[in-house]
Amino acid sequence: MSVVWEQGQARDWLRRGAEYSTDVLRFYVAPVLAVGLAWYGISAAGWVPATLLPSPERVLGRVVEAAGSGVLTAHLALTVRRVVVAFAAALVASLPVGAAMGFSRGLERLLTPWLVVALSIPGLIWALITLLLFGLSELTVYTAIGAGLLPMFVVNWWQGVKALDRDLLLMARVYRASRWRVAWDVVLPQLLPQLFASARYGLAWGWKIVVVIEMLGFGNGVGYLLYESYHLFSMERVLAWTLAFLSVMLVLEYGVLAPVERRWTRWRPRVTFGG
Amino acid sequence: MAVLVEVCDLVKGFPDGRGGWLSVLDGVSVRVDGLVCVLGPSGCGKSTLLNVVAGLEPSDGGQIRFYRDGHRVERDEVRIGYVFQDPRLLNWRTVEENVEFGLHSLPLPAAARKARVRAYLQLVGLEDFARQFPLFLSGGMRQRVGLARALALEPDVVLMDEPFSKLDEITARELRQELLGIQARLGQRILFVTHNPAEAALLGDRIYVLSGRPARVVAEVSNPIPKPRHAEAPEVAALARDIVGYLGAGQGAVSRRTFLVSGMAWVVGAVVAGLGSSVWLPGVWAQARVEVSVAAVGATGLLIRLVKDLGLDRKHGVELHVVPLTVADAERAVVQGRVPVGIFNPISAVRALAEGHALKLFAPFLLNHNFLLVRAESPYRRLEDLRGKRVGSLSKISGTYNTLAAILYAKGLGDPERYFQLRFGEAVPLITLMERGDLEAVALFEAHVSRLLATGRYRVLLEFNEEFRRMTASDNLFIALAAKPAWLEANGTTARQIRAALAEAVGAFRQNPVGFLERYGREIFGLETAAEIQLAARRLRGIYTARWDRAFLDRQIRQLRLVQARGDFLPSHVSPEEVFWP
Repeated sequence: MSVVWEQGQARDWLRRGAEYSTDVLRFYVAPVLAVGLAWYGISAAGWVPATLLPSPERVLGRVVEAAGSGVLTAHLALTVRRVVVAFAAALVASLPVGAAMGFSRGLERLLTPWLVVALSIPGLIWALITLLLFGLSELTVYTAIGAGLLPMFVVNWWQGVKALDRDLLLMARVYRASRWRVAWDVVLPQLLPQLFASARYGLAWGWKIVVVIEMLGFGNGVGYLLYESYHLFSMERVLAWTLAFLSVMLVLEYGVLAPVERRWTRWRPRVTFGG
Repeated sequence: MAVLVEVCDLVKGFPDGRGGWLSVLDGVSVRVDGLVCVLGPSGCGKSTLLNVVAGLEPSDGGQIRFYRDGHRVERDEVRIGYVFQDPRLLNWRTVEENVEFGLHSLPLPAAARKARVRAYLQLVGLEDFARQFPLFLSGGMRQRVGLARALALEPDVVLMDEPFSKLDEITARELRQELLGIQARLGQRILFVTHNPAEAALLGDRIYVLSGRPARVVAEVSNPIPKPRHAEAPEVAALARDIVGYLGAGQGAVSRRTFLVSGMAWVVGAVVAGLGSSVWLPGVWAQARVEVSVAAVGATGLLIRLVKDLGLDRKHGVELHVVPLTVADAERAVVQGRVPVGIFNPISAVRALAEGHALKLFAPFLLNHNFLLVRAESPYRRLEDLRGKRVGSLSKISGTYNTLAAILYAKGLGDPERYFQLRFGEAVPLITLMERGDLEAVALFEAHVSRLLATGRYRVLLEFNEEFRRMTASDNLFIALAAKPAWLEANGTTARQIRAALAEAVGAFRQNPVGFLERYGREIFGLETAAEIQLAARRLRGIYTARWDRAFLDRQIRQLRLVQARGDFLPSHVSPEEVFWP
């Protein structure tokens, strides 16, 4: 793709950049600052003991210190890896099952009750079962998270395939498109919007469950750090690890998922409400 | 490289969801050799027809045949473009990628593919929007992308499914004109499906009119309007009105039976035509093969049926290939030179001559037997009672209308268009309108009259022939076979052979009208009971003539002069003598 810069385009780009920064300031930076300031005010006033509400600068200081020593980043990386690997495995494994349910009425009827059951099993139960099965190994974490994510993604593919535009498939047949081209140009793009929705939901669910699993006796990961801090009765550390964990999640959401989604759905006019 | 698509007797149905069967296409035959329109009411199965032609759905019967340069080829060897009713674009691909989508199946290097995409985007005026996504374009532009996608394939055949029906009228008009231009330049075969008669009249070289579900072809109309055509042209509007008439016939339960009759006559005609070409025998090759357009229903259909079934054409050394059309279209076909020989009313022939279309009548066919029918219970007794009333008539160039006009002028009543509120159409739609009470009277050629009178619901208010006899002390005019003078000069012997074959068929019928009506009456007239057959036999006994001698022609000429003299209706600067070939 070649990018042609024209005068109007550059001006347009600048204008849009300015609009975007105003937006970020108004909807993201300002509220975060307000919450931080309130936190600072309350802790500085001394109404709450510092052991229960440490000041923000001490919490941030601990994050920076732990990050600098490499301890925090090692644990964080481990946790992120666990979620991402399980997420990817579940996404791929669910595709044939979901697609089969979407294409075959018989399989749909056969598997739907099982799907309902799988969806209702709490993540913690998977964690306990896999822990008993595989012990304190990485396999335990992957299977526990994967087992929870799998039914969600099956639903995603199943509904996506059922909602495929049959007319477009016929169009592709008229124009004698190859299988590969049908998959890439016709089918996949139709599944993407649904995929992004369930990816968000699946990731959020993965973050919650991974921390719980790590608390169950693993010697590493953010869950372990939090569990340790809890036993040390250190609110400062609990808040520090939580803050660090949240930042990683936000980076993944806003730095990876959102831009990818924007890129893949730029063919859709944005709906704006009001002025 | 010319490709031809023939859809023959296509049958298609679907399960209706309640254990039954919903018949959608019931023996539809269409020939795609230019820009061909298929017109029918919404939901009659037009899209199904296209899907079956495209190979997206299997048929339940009949055949779809593809020919390239006269040789039968498989569907896979023919490039097919399809423009859908909704544009059916990949909204997540840019305009150019959408156009390119169909080209991947061709063995084209990437650069050539891109160049072709650009060329066709330019053709539809979208070159500036190549990198846009479809949803950012207007509906009309999106439809253009679909058009470019189909055309970029440089297809042999383009299927179009009401492609402009969802657009605003202004955009649709623009695109129709563009399509006409593109087709004129590139000459693709286009099967264009629409429910819009004006669109069909504007675009179609030929127009097939389908009935409501299950769809059958109720009419095949050739578009006589020369290109370039314009949506505003009065001829287009007039043709659209004609077509609306056919469409009307497809609706309303009352007409179903009459309808079936004409539908069956079509099938009969097709079978006759099929026989004509399939029983080529060694030794028959030497015979001249002549395409004759006739009205398939009624007495014209009967006579030609006798000629074929009794083998009278071969006996006299000529092979007639029958092209069944409606009465008016049969005449048009000769004027346009689509067939060398066809039935023609002498009044129409004089008018055609006055307009510069030289034609000569060369073989007698049957009495120009027309009637003005009213409902049995209506109060009208005389022609004058119908002044200002809604009256239907066969189209303006038909012998029926011309005779009606001649009678009105002769009686000093003037132009029928001003005397009545006239509605033009083909027979079946007009009958439907009268059944519904939308018309007070209808002027019809003999074809449908036997059937209508047999129901007891109608009576004859005016028999044109009797009226003529009263006015002129002799018989009415005779419809005859006509051909262009050049054809007659070159094929004089053949013309005489046809004449002899017809004369023999007339003789055969006169000897045993009841017998023949028992055999063919059901198919050709829709006669059911013995009483109906008896009545029809009485009415039809004197309808044919085998004479073409000097005395007969002189009488015909005298009649035409009378028509000319009695009003300013028939141009008098043309000599009626010239329309007869002795």
